[in-house]
Amino acid sequence: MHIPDGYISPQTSLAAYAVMVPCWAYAFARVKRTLRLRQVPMLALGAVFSFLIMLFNIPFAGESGHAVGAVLLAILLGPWVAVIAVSLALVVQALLFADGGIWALGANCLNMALIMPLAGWGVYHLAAGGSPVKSKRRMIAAALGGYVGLNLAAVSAAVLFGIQPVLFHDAAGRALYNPYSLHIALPAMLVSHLLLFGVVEAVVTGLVVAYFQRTDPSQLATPDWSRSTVHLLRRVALGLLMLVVLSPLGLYLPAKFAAGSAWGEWSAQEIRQMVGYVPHGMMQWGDHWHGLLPGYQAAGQASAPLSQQIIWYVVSALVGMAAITLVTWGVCKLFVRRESHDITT
Amino acid sequence: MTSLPDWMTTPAPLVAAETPVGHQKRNGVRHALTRFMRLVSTLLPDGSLAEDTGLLQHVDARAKLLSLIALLLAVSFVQRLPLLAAAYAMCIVLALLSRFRGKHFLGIWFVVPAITLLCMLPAATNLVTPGKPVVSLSPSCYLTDNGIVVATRLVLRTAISVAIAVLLMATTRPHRLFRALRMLGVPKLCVMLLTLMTRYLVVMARVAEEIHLGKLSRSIMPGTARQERQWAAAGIGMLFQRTKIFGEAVYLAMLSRGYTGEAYLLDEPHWHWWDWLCISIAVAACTALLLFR
Repeated sequence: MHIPDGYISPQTSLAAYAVMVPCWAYAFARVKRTLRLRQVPMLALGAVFSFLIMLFNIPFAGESGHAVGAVLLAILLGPWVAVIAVSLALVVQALLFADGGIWALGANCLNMALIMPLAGWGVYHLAAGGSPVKSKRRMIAAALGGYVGLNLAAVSAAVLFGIQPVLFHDAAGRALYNPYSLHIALPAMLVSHLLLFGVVEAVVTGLVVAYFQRTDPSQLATPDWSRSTVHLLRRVALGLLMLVVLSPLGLYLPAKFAAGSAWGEWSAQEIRQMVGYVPHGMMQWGDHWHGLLPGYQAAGQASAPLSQQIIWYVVSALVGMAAITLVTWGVCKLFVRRESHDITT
Repeated sequence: MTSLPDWMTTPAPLVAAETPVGHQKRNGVRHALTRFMRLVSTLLPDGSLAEDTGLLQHVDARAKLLSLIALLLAVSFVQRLPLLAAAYAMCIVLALLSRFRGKHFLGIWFVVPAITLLCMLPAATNLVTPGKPVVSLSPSCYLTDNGIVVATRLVLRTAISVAIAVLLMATTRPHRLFRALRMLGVPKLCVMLLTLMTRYLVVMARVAEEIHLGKLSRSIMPGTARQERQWAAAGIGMLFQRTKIFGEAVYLAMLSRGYTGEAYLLDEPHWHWWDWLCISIAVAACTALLLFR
């Protein structure tokens, strides 16, 4: 999945760097709090381990494959250490072995050093829940985390490839970089990763976790997260997902019982029908702001069939949840102080 | 007196009857071992990284890094095929003047563009890139003029990018490259991590090599796929444990040598007139590439 230079535009590469630079800064800040003075040799050797995992041969279905190991590293050392370690491994591969481009390094790190370990680690913790460290559920959760993490990284790489011919073409309409658009790049990447590479990653991650369960379970302890925190977050996440799934009831039930708009939420046309005219202030300011998803629908889709409206309703729910989570996190970061740790010894 | 059982008296064949003479079954452990040995031989200095009389070897690592990365960026904007071909020719001339050796570098120089060419062949057809037919492959599939341009452009750009990366790699020792990164503003911690990583990559690669050799030397035949997978997972786990132990040892060694969290880099290089000449030529080349792209 290493993207060489030339496949993606410099603008895409710079955008990937713009995403990665703050992530690297945040990862270093997080790691400083936990590893302290030991961070330098442990990080460097974690990166060495990340590099060497990719050279192990895993026999599978008559052939052999290699694992990336980013999710495994996240499980063993923590997600932010994995971000740094895999990034370093990719830098060394690009600079010393010409494996992956130098300008494309940001994009490679975005896929394999950010999306893969964070997504895989999140899936692992959601699936493992509060189960004991030596339980089979943990092993299966690790395998699932490896599978999902790698496939999400593959989707990200496919999107980066697939948007190139749409965004960057010459005067004659010919693609300037990767010529395969999304409808080719996505299936091409997903089929191989869903059916083969993802399975290899899942097998390696699961088996290595099983090895540590047998020989040294302390390696799998997660100091950052207490069991009760994981339980709570899991319940909250499941509850929110259930609400998202049930949200289209808010469209279906009013339509079924011909309920009309809620009191005080009438449009200008409904006001005209009720009182015979539209007040001047309402005419002037009523349509001033439309928003990203006006009426929880895509722009211009207000009269689409109910099934399409339901899809956009669910999308609106997910977008709203993501926006609120982001703002809350930002506010907490700005205004909530944590206890400072001594990082000098 | 008890007689010996039949199985002790009947000689068993050393090689299974169905195995052809002279044929070795593919062995994943052997493959992985070869990879580790190749990695170690690439990282250890063997003279193929020319320290002596090549052109680019004399240029300061900072000047090389800035010039080659700027050239990489400029090439990514170029659309004209003749200009890309000229840029590739320039890379070949630089490689010849720098006199670097090593099959490893030449392998990378040609393999990556070859793989790109294979990947881009479907893009050269009417199935991906419409245009006037040039070469017919089947009744409904042909190479188009636009497709050939798109594929050639991407292959050339990839070839130039790989050539520039190999030129940098083959003419600059890793520690000088990382020192140049530090002098160009990369944070000290990152440079220190890269330096440590490169240093200990050889050490841990040898550990991984030993893990594989230990397996090979104690195996009389390959196990089942399930056994080999479990062994590979155990090997990775063992490598992680050895890495952690080694990390602690390195940390204690650093402490014993006075490490307090600060990093110091020795031997600041100086700029020479030929470094500025290299940068000027690179700037001129980038300007020309962007003006006539």
